[in-house]
Amino acid sequence: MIKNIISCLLIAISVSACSPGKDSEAQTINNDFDVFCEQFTLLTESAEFSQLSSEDRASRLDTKLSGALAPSANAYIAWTAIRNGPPSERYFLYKDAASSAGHNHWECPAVKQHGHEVGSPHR
Amino acid sequence: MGDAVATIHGNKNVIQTTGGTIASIGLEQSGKKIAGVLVTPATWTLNYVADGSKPSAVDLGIWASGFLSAPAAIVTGFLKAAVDDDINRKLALIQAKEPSKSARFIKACYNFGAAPPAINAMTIANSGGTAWITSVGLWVYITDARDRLVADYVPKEFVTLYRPCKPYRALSTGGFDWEVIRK
Repeated sequence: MIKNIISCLLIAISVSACSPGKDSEAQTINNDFDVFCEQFTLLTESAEFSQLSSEDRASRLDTKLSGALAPSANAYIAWTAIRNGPPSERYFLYKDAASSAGHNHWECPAVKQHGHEVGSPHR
Repeated sequence: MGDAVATIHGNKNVIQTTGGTIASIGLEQSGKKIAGVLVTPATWTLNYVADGSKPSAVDLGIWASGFLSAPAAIVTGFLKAAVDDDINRKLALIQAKEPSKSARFIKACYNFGAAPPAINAMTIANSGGTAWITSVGLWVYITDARDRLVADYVPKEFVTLYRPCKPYRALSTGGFDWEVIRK
């Protein structure tokens, strides 16, 4: 049994050493925060974006995200909370959330520019 | 003696995981595999009686995986136990700085849900609770004696704090507007 445990550990270390880092292209293209960014960008590029209230924008984005992400996806859980967070802090909160999920260099220009305009208006 | 007790308590999960594993192996080798996989839940029961701690979703997953692959579950369980002990040590440091009547209700965000602690902290604020991170780098939150989130607790020490905004108003989405306070 001890031999089995040591073998498992050695295999795990070898696989980890041979694997690309978290910031490699393969992992940053298809993570759930990139899906969130993609859907957010599509929303901001839609013709009606400027006509909608910030709550209506959030509602539309939520509909899109609930089809694109699993309810258990970190990005979806983060979105559900951050949409009601302080508008001026939202981009930093999304970045914190992505970082905590292992995506340290996650960026999203659309969220950076319009993140404060999508979600609760904090009246 | 006091130091020994503190050391045992601080490493409770590693000690129990190791003990549970040895007991499981012993029972499995004697042909009682079902009894073996039941050892770990028994230690959780002891923890709950001793200090009210409950198994997290990750604990449950590791226990369930024991039915499928004992060696992998043992290795994963041992690493998870080491992480739990590190969290317990940091949690004890945070609790020591808060009033004793509140300290026992402060818990690690790590165990609130399956998401990373930073995201769990945001979920807690959105759900009407207070969550904060201190200089030791652990996200925590507080409940009342009935395990309900507390909206307006002000910790003695924090670096960043998330909490719902006053006046408390449930939004149509089910959450609350919440704020970020940084020191």
